[in-house]
Amino acid sequence: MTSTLEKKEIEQITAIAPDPSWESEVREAAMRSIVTKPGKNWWIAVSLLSLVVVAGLGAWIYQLKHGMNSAGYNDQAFWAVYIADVVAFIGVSYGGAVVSAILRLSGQSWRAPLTRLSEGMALVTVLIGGAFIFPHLGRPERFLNIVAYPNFSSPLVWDFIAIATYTLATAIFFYLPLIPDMAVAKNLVDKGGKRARLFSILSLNWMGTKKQRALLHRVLTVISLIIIPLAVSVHSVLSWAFALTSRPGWMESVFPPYFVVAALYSGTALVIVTIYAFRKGYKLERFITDRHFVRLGYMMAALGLVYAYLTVADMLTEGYTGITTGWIQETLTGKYAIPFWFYVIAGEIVPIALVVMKKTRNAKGMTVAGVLVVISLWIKRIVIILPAATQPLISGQWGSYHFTWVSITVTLAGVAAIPLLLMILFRFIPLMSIDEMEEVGPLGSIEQISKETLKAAREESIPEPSKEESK
Amino acid sequence: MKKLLAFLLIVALSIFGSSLALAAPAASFSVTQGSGDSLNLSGSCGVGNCTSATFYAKSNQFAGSNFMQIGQAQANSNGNAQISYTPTWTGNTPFKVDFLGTSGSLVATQTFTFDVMKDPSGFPQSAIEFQRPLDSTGSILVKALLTIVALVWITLLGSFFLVVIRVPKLSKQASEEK
Amino acid sequence: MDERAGESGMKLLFNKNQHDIDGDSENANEVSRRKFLKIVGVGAGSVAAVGAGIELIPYKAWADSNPNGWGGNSGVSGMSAATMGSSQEVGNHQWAMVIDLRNCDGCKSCTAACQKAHYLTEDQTWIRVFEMGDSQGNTYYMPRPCMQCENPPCLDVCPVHATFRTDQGVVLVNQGRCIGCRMCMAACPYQARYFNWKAGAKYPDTGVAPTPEFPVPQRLGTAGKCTFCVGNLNHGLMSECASACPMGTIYNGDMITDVAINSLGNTVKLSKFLYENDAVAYKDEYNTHPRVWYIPGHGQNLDTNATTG
Ligand code: SF4
Ligand code: SF4
Repeated sequence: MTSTLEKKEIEQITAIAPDPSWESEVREAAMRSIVTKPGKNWWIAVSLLSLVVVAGLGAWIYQLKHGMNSAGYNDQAFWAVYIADVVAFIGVSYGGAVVSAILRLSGQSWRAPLTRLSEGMALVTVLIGGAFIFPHLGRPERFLNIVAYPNFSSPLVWDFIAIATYTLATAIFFYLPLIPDMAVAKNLVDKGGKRARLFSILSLNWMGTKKQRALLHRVLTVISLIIIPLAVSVHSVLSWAFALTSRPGWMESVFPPYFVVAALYSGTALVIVTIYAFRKGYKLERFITDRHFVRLGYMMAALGLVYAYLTVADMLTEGYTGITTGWIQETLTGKYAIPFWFYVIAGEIVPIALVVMKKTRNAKGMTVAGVLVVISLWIKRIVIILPAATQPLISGQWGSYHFTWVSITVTLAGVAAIPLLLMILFRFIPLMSIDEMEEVGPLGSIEQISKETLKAAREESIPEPSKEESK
Repeated sequence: MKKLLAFLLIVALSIFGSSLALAAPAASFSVTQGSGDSLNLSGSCGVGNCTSATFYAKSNQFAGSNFMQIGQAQANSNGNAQISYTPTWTGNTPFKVDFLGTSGSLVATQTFTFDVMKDPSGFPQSAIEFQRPLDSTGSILVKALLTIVALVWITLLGSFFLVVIRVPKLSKQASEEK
Repeated sequence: MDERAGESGMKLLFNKNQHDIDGDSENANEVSRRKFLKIVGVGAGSVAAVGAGIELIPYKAWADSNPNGWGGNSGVSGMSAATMGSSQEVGNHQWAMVIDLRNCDGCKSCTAACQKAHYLTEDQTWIRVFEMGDSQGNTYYMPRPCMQCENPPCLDVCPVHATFRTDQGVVLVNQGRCIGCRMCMAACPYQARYFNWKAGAKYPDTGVAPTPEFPVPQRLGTAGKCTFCVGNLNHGLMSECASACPMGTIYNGDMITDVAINSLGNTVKLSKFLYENDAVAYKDEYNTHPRVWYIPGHGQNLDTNATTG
């Protein structure tokens, strides 16, 4: 019953001819990155970022040759910065998936200008996060042993399966909404050029017929439905790599939601930062307004509160009985006190204050909050990982991890790879989902418009023939 | 009387011994790959009056430059003795066999060098790692979870290919209608 | 040359005939290396002093509740049901270890011998001597090899089956397959796992390729740990740590022949020795079932010997 209704609804909406002036504006803005030649600043940024990435690769080769000790590891600090990178990067990828999938499913029309950027960010960060598994391994060349001799009781095999599945889903989720845009884009670049050919292959000969739209809509709904539990499972499984050991500080039932919320929190923050950077770089203020930032900021603040709550729940439960409090003492007042309290201030109090205060509740304020959250959540991951890894299980000294130039360079390379890959990616791909923007119209891309209103608003401007058609 | 007996005994023994000593080069020894990682060590003292055979191996790990005993076997009426042995190291390993005669003296010695190839995964492993989690309950769980994963992959790839195949077809149809 | 290595130096250490020779380890007549500890109140019975109370599971309680289990009269078959899981093959030996803390003076000879035999770096203390504190503020020493858990968490979490358990109950690492993820280091409750972090360790040319039983040379970027010197044991030799211990603290044992011996030549009936001396399994609440038992103590035997003999 509902499905037939929905079908009708889709057909009605898709039958509407879009507002022509809005259409041309959107097209121009979204194609800005493709049509215009990259400026000097772009080249400088790209070459600087590539330098950092190349330096990171060099550091990794050095590490391969000299052993992981060169990255600061030792027997009592066996997991440290690289696993934190894996968790943090795959974590922020979740933010992209959420803005896109949850907002798509809940019918938030204002998501339209943000989806493309956040999906791109999700794709790029999940690839980088996955790649950080390689410096983490002592023998990366044997990585495929996981496929050849899998031990299904190992959380790392679960990780492998979950991350592979999630990456596939992210890639598909990035590509499918791109199809209609590719059809638009191929007509906007020089005919016969390389890019036109690429676009026309990617567009699959899309013509935007009613049937095609209905098909795409249905498939995207299914994938949105899949990608949310998938992302939840990825971060739960990642947390089980820690929680399924018998180490105090890791062996906690709160870990899966703890990791999921951390991922959402930092992910939303990085979406804010990403859209701010692209809004600035490509002058998209007309489409990505302060209202978008504020909405995302509310989301981020709510997630931040949940995360703070989980942190307290975790530490109180462990600390109260006093059996295994070593890591809590170290975290609160010992070796890890500075990073931990940095997280509390820069990762919770300041960002939430920035959202709460009216003065800073704008694009800039939210972006500052986002940057703080992304950084301090990476630090929080280190604070989760190191105290539990370095604690003495029998007696004796605490171990310690020393950051070396190798691990710092490799991590910075990962950080630099995000903007680098995004900048390159969006030279080939429209900045905003032209199709979705046209569908929701100028109002819908800023305000929340329910499907019904959208329909009603559309019906006013419906040209005569389609009105008849819909009856 | 006693002296005579002792003398006779010595003479007898020396004759016996020299005959054995002559027979010594006739001993043969070979090492072959047995089932799995085990080796079959089989020696023959060649004279038929041996009682037992002691087998030795030399490994840097345990014995330095000396041979160490790895097993004993009774020689059969033809003077053949055989043991099966699973070494725990790899590389070129000298093996040795000593045969004892009825009188207890050494009748034959033979060495043989064999290149021990051992695949580390060929160790006799306990069943534990295969049981977990693939034993009764665990295997159902694993299979169920893997099925879910497979379904997710099928859905993802299925919807991808559905779009990739259907969209151009629909376009074709549409342009034909025109 | 080391006498152990002589042509006829092969003793069948784990001989069934030795069953009823019960020794206790009090004939150590050289105790000059004793450093510490002459404290009252922490006898063999006061288990709680060793850790947080729950970490030690007494052998006695287990044996009493499993009268037919290992150490009871039915021997191997009882063991296979009680401790090995029903479908598991039982090898010709089930290696075990007893560490008699009443004798340990913390000299770390075991660590040195192990590192020498396996060409380990200084950090790689496959058997590590921990200095433990008790509730009275005193210290005693506790050597910790790999516990060769019957239910090893390190095996469960290894993604590529690089960690495996042999039919002799020994947990080994196949360094030819290990991907170096260090999940095992996270999972082991005893901190018994070590990693090859540094390139450039110097190995002599032993002429042998590394096997899990004798992983020399170590491979960069893979995990390693105590192997129980299972190659030695199978050839009737004692493990490097046990034979190097001047105090006879460490016993190599075999659960099938039910014998254990130490470097002083004491041969004991393993199950009886464990039962009568209140042996405990360390941190067995993690369900690991260690194959290493401790006899709680703080080196007191060394004092006794010093005064009596
Ligand atoms: S003591 Fe640690 S390394 Fe040894 S078997 Fe048990 S879990 Fe594995
Ligand atoms: S480091 Fe090696 S032995 Fe340890 S869990 Fe990983 S693959 Fe297995």
